[in-house]
Amino acid sequence: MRFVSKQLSRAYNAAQANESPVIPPQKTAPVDPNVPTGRWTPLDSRVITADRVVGWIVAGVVSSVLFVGVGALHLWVLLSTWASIGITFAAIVIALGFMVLARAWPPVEYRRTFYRVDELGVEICRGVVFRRRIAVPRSRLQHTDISEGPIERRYGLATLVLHTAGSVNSSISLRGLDRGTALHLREALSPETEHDAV
Amino acid sequence: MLSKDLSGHVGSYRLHPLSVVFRMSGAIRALILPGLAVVILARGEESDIWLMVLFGPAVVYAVVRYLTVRYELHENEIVIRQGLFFRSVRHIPYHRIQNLNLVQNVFHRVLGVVELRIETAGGAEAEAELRVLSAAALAEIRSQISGYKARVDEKEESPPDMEPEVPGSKDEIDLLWPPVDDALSPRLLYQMNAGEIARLGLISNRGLLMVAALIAILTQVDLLESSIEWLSSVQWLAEWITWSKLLSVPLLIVLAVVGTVLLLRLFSLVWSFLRFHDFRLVLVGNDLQTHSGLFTQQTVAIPRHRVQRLVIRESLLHRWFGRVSVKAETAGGKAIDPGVGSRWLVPLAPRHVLQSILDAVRYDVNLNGVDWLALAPRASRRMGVRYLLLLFIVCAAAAAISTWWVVLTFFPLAPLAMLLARLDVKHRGYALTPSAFLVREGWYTRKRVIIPYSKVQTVSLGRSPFDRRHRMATLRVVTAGPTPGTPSVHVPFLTLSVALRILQRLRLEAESHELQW
Repeated sequence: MRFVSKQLSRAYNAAQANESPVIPPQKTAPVDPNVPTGRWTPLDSRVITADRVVGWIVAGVVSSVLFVGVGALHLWVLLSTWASIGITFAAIVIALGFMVLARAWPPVEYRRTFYRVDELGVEICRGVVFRRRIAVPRSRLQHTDISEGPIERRYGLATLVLHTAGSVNSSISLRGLDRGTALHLREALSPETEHDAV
Repeated sequence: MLSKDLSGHVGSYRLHPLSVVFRMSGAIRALILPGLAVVILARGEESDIWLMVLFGPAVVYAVVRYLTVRYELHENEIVIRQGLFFRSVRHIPYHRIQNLNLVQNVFHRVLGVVELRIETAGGAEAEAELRVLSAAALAEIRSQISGYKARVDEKEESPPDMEPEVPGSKDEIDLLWPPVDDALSPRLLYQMNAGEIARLGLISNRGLLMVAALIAILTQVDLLESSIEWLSSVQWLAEWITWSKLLSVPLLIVLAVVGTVLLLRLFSLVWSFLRFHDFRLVLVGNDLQTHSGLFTQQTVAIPRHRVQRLVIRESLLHRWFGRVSVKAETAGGKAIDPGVGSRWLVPLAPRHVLQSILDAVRYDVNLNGVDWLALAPRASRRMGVRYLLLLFIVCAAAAAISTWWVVLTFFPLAPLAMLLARLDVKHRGYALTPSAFLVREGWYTRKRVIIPYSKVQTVSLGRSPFDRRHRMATLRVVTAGPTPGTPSVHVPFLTLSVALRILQRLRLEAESHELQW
């Protein structure tokens, strides 16, 4: 491990020695008191409630479909007692599973999602099992969108969508931001010049 | 040739009148079998009427299309209008045009016309196809676009993009696209001679492709079955088979294998000469142009600042011959030739040409001085586990379709898998140069990908639960690609702390190297 780091730092120094500017001095981070610069910031905690509501809706839909299905099965197909008990039990377990997930998953996800904005651009960390950290350089942003679903709006939340020209990850959405924060972020990230033409 | 009607000072043009013929020929090709059927079935008297019913709509369509398609060359965009009932107007700003591709097959060449495809960064399809145009019309479009570029360059006061002229090279090159401006003198970067093309045929195994095409054609006309019947009925073959029983069976098998291989290579040679006859890579102004083909000639022009990444490949055979192949990936536009798959800058060249190509693309990378860095120390162990898993799945699948003890072949093969995993990891690596990020992989076909920092779109680190246990991460570097979903370049099994530093370095470099489309 040390060996690799050493090698890297050697490459680093070599690169810096015969290389031009490290950070373009003319580009300074836009000063906006509402946008924390350089710090890892969690989402708005209301996203937990909002996600739980979505989770409950999904759980409700899934369990009602399941129970209607089980009922229909009992009506139209002659089942043995054990089959009937087994199927009903499985349906109850699945429905309960969805409900438990609806309650327990949002806080777990919330604790694993952070973003930060600095003079270089945006970084997003997310994922519970498979964790990912995505960095979008400021100058590579084609445009940014803000979208609000009905449930998000109810809780004063918004989603910031970052569009790049990449062949993958071409739109990266950051869910669960406070609506005001999302607007400020978008302001802070919108490119100053428009001469970047595709 | 141009039918110009004067709407203001903007020229509005039609396609070349011959486009009716080319439009029709497409339809005729599609209808040739039904047409033959009609002629055979109708037997004379009424066949004319039936043929008219069959081909009439195609003719009408071609004529209507010719009459309705118009393009206008504005100051900074090209506007294409088409349609009779449903009219469409397509605006393509010049600055969005990624490349102009020309196709000229034998008929085109005889009649002095070309097919032009305009590609932008948007979708997988060409943004617009103008078939067919006269050479004069093409020159007009080109001059309009380069005139626009010149104006923009002037406005930005960028240093003039001129390459030193190579004396004598100008006379040797007769381009399909004559340079509009005399200042944009073409510079020949690389030209394939016959020996090189033959080598390409031998190295790249395209023989199977030709065989597949041949079989497809044969089955299309039901020739395959009859030819097999013919072969089996021929006396000499039967005699030869009885005679060959005297020879040992293994020898026969060896002969068959060698024969097949030779035949495939022969086909590959044919393919190579058809596709890459007289291949030339030329730098004209800021465009890299490739020009090749025996019957169907293709000219592909890629503005060099639109090259998103370069891929250099060397298989074992390449290395024996001391050759490399270089592909350029651009944003937008499907590869014009699906059989080839992507844009060759150079299908095959001696190694020493590589550096001059890199210089021409302005990559500012010295390949000999690259300091390659390795993956995490424990990477080969993890890769070994991956290879073993894969091997086990294969063995289990083999056992599932045969008998259970086939799964035991896993054990003798396991050391081999471990060895391959080691090789795999050993040949993976990355490098950070002052201007580009480099990734290499592959132990049989060695692949090197060069991504200039100015083309990096996003950078990400992924960590699976296994990665977390070993404190590792996978680095992904995304550029704009020809189609959405084009795989990004990735480096697996990096030590986490190293990966984080690379991520930060790449963010920094991406931000300090302005994106140029």
